[in-house]
Amino acid sequence: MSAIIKALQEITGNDRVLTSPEDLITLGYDGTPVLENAPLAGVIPADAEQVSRIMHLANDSGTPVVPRGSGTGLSGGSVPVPGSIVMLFPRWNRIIEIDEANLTAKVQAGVITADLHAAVEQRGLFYPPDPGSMKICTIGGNVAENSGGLRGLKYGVTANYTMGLQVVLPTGEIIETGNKCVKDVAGLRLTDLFTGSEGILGIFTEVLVRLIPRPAASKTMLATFDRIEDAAESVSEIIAKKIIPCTLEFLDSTTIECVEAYARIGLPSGLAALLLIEVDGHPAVVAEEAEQIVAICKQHRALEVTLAADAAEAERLKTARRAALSALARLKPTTILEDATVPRSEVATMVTRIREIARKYDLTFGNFGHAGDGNLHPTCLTDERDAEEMHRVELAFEEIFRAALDLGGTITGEHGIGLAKKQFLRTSTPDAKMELLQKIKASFDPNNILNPGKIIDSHPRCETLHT
Amino acid sequence: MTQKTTTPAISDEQLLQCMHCGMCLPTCPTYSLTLRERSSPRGRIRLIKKFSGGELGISETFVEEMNFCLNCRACETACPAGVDYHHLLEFARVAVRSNTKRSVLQKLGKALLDKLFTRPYILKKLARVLYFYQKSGLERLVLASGVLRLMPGNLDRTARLSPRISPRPASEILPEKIPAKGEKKYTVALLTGCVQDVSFAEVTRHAAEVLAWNGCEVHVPRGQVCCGSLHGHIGDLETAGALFSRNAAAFDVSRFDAIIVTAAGCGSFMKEYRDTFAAAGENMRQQAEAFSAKVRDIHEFLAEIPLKKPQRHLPLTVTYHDACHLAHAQKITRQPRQLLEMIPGLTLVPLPESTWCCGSAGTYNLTHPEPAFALLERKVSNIASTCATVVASANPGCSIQIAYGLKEKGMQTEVVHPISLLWQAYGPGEEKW
Ligand SMILES: Cc1cc2nc3c(=O)[nH]c(=O)nc-3n(C[C@H](O)[C@H](O)[C@H](O)COP(=O)(O)OP(=O)(O)OC[C@H]3O[C@@H](n4cnc5c(N)ncnc54)[C@H](O)[C@@H]3O)c2cc1C
Ligand code: SF4
Ligand code: SF4
Repeated sequence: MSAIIKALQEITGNDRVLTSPEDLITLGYDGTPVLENAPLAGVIPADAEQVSRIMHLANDSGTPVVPRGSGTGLSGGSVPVPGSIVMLFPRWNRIIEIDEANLTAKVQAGVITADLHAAVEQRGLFYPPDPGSMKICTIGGNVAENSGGLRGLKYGVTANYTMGLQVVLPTGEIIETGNKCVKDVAGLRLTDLFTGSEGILGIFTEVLVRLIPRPAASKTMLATFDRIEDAAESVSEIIAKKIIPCTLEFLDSTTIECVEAYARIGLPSGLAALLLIEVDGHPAVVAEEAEQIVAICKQHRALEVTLAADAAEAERLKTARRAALSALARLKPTTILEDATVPRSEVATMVTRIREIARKYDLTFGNFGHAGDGNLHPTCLTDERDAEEMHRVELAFEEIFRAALDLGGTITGEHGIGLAKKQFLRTSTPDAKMELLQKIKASFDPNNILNPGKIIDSHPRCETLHT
Repeated sequence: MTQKTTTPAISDEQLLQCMHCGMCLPTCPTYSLTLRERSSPRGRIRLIKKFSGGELGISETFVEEMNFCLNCRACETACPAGVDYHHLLEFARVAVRSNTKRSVLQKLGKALLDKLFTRPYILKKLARVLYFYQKSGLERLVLASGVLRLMPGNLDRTARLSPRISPRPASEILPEKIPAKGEKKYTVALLTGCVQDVSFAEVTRHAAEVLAWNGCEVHVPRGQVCCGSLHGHIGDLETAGALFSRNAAAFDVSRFDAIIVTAAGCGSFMKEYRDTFAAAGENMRQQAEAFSAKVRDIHEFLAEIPLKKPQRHLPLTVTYHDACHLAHAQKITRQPRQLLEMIPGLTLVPLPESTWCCGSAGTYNLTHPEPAFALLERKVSNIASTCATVVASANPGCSIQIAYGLKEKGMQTEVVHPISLLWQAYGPGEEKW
């Protein structure tokens, strides 16, 4: 038995160190296609103290550590690097406190996002970030990816609700950032720096989140179109009319068919596009905005606009939408989804560009996404065993990224860089900015042992972690 | 006599279908118990993929994970990508079976499964013995004495879990043909099953009568045997194939509009004969195809035909447990509730986590008592939260398991097949299910 494993066992006890090939194989992936690598071991720390000791051990021995939530990430953030220890938080699922006076909740990092929703909603409160994976992903993972969700358009992303963190630094110190104060300018805003850090700057053990009152009413609508441009223009018009729906989701024909095959919500076939729209807030405002939205969609030649009869039906529609990505996997062996995001005024242009690129490279794409906030998920349906096609896929994605950047957008809106988009980040980022990122990483993690090789290569000359 | 069945092959396509999104994890009972990726559907699929690709051997842990799985198929319901999980699992189990030495005890169990279920007369004889044992009070004496607890394994629990035996099996009390009441609209065949036949004979009789009252001429073919699901699920396709061949001979499928099944587990396995035996010889493949095409769950069938309105009032508060092999394997959730709601006076209350496995899962509660009883406790406390006085359950395994759990908790709640409730609402009235 290797000395590292023995030392880990001394810290956590034997049953919290996983070494069987079956455990290692099943810790080797996340939700990202193709990427896979079995770690040296898995470890389940019992508390922050043990996390800290493990980090000391890692530094002393030069063993990389990779934090893992539920492994639903879509950029390879928790895919193990060679010879690493994967750190797991399976029983870290306690909601420590819900503070109704200050509208905050403190949770352990392994709490499942939907469990937090349920707990706060029982008390008339609301935690808006709702990634499609919310029934299984963890708050720790959400903070690390700064995840968005269906409600992002109106309510923003995880960063807008992260008030404070307990973090174990790569060098083993345990620190707290932020607090329950709405205002706080003491020092740099470290909480914000950690949010979206993809597990390379520190390990979150506790998260303090901001809550808001639960909206009193909501209405969910479904608008269908036989021209994709009509749907895109409806989106622009809704925003231009200064209505901010809570949800404004777009699905193209391929996605609609796959979702229908799974969820059987009774969508007619042959549609070109569909918008799923939800407005929430004060009942009077909700009613008025819903009416306006129906009118706008109809002006833009919607085939039909239907209102969900009740909360259960609204939930069914949203659940079906959340299944979109996985449902697309029905068609082809490999599903590669992207996350290119543009300013919302450019959504219609971007949708058209994606279709042109798909045609140019003779590829099948399903397209869906958070149209209201410009975050699209063009998804390529392909076969990883076909090297020639995979090459075309690469070229197509390069062009999609370039198109997004040309329109003033970004290569990833919510899934992160991880391993999957590292090269694109490097080629699209000026040197001075890349160097700054590297300096920040080096100052937190001088030995480069926490999730090394994700987002950036810390030692630019060492290219071993290429994918 | 029997035709050769071939090990089902799985293709790369089937394995690649899983895009490892993790959407199935929160619905997996075994993952909920361990929170360990390898006991999740996504984890098992990856292990099977590695095994199939030759990168992983059949280790003890591999065997353990494949057997720890309940084959409840909740992951299939949850999976947006349409992964055919149970085929992958059954492939792995067949491989495990043919590659591992079985312990003496397992061999004994296997011999029992072979003998009991392939020779109905032995099962019936044993049932008579068990019936008298239960009736005579001897059983209570033995259980109370605690002597079984001194025996190896889980004999005590096994005894408490053994099904209540009906006085006479359905295949004996039912005539070979029951004429339709009034105008004959359909000709159907009824599966009497194995465990169902000897321990839930009333359910089968109730089904026959409900069908007859609604215009069906009901045939109860003689010579029918166990559907083979118990064998199929543990990877013994040889015996399952032999049983299928005997059923194919007993049921002249072309005569019937439907082959009606009252037990969820049997129905789902029989609907899948066509896949299970797809790799068998041409003759068997065709027989399986024709057979599967006719199989209907009783609730499914009744919901498709015009029904007479039940007249008798049943002032009961009932909750409905979704058997995995109805809800997940056959996607039948609406129809049983619909039938229950037809009953005058009956109040149907929703059961939290109704589609969550009760831990019975074929012979799982005997082979894996710990997880099985953890799941049973969860089921029982959900039932308790509804305050229902009756739990409707459409699978013999679930019914036995749940009844046991309720009794252990000292609860009075009864477990009844939905069709027995419907029968009662139609029926003459003197008899309680
Ligand atoms: C079907 C599906 C739908 C999705 N929908 C959305 C969506 O709508 N919006 C969206 O933004 N994303 C979405 N995602 C992506 C993914 O679910 C999110 O990125 C999520 O936040 C990941 O959480 P996780 O717990 O699975 O983390 P993991 O995938 O395990 O890890 C993600 C990253 O977080 C790090 N990490 C995990 N825990 C900790 C910790 N305690 N401390 C420090 N670092 C940590 C890991 O190292 C890794 O870099 C979706 C994914 C799937 C499969
Ligand atoms: S089985 Fe389906 S739901 Fe589960 S990980 Fe695979 S694709 Fe996702
Ligand atoms: S069949 Fe049931 S126990 Fe097995 S992996 Fe699927 S959900 Fe889990």
